[in-house]
Amino acid sequence: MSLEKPVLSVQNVSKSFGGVQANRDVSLDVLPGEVHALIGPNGAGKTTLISMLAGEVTPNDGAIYLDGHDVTGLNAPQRAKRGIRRSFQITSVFAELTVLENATLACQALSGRATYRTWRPIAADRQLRDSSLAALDKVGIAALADRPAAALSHGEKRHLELAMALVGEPRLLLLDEPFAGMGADETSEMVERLRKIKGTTAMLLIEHDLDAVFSLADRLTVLVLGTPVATGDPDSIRSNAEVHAAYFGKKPVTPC
Amino acid sequence: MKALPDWAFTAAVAFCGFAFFAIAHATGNAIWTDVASRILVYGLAAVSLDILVGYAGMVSFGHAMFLLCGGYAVGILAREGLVSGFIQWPVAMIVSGLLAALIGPLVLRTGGVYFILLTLAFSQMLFFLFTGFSRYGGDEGLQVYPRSEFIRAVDLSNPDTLFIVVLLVVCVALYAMQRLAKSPFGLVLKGCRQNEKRMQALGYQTFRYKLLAFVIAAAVCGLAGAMLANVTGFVSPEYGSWQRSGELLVMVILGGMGTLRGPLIGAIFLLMLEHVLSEQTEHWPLLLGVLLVLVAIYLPNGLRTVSVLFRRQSNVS
Repeated sequence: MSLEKPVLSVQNVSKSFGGVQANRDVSLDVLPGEVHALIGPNGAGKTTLISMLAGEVTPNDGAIYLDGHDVTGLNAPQRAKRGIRRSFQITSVFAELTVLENATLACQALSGRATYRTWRPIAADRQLRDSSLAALDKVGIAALADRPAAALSHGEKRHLELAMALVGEPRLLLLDEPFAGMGADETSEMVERLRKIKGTTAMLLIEHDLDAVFSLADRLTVLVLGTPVATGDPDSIRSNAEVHAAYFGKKPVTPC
Repeated sequence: MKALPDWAFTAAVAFCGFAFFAIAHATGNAIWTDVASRILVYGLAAVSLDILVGYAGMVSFGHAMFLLCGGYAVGILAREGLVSGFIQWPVAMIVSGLLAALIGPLVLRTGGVYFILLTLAFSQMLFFLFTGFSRYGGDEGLQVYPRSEFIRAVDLSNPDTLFIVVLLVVCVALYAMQRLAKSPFGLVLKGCRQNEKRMQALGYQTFRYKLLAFVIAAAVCGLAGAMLANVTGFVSPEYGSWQRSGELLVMVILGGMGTLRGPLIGAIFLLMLEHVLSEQTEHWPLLLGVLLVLVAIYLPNGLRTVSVLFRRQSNVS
């Protein structure tokens, strides 16, 4: 496994906002098909790190490589086109559009110049409609296609977001708390969904639900005060003393 | 319910226009056509602003600068002896579009309140620039003489002919914008208004789409300006005053933004009201103010949804 070339390689990345150091000297990598979870207490700099990987925030220092190419200087849309997709901690679907239109926006983003067409109606594009429906079908919400996105339940919106992120087989998925605000049933459904994707798409996952994290992740990185204190497989993280001290407050880990 | 085809709205506008024309003549009120032409032209300007406000979420408070731009394009060309409308009107659109392409990269760097402020600033700059153009009348304005010439049979100094030409051009432009609203590009604009960050995360360079929308809206408004110059026979810096920009915004919001037909309804309503009330009292803006408050409270989706007031039970779409 270690011989595989990482999809994502983060090297010595730092970021501060004014006087606040959000991330300091972060290095990590994500291997093909791997689920790499990022855990840590609130304020550990997880979301800042994801934002830097997505290209929304520029690091002060360090470099980010996607498939060996330096993408540090690319902005968010450029990185999305290269295959880095993200979901947001706060559900971000286009509430006033239908579910199908949401998926269509994700699909046609990849089609380049076609999005500048101003004459031909979108409804006339059968191929686009089919691929949009297929994207919804992948996460099991094709039946909701014609509903306004605002009318979906929280869990359904989360699935829609995942569907949009999955369009076009991304190289890397950045999932910012995909289970946030979900009930137990919805969470286990989403875990199943992600487990199916696992192995084909590399994922970097931020999550507070440790049950879900430990059942999904191949490797974990623990972030404390903006810096990784440990990286390893679930078992080694569970038994790592430093992690206990910093994150779990010295108690033994019983995933709650 | 099955949606009406794209051309239904345009056809309705054309039908109402011709019906109005026939009635005005039959009742001996041919003078109405002048007001009607003006309404159509402002309606088109408001609809072009709706592409920005209602679709792309860019609240421009300087949209009238493109009316000024299109109007002066016609006025100046006529003054310099180039009178063909086949040249004047496209030039009006191109110049307006170019102006938008020039200032767009600056104003689009900002969003929200600052976008409002910067569009206002640029329209004021243009206003004062033309105030100082003494060759073209300065703040006195410029007579548009002769009117744009197309073919011999079409004499735009005849109000009836002008009305028909304006009606046809407005219908074509409306149809084109209806198409735009339902196109892939239109969907991208709606996405930008609702969640620009999400659009970028999907791979859209949102700036480019917004700039293109800004240019298209400006070109269409420039066309409206070219027609307005022919309707009034006169252009002045007042075309691009901030009050004029404000009126366009009122038309869009009053009628119902993000719908295209709403702003047209808003333009008809506002200008009719102005026409009727200003003959009764000089305090008519006071009544307008009261009306705006009522619409804002009871018809948040604009006048186009006025039927909800009469069927409270049913669901509002």
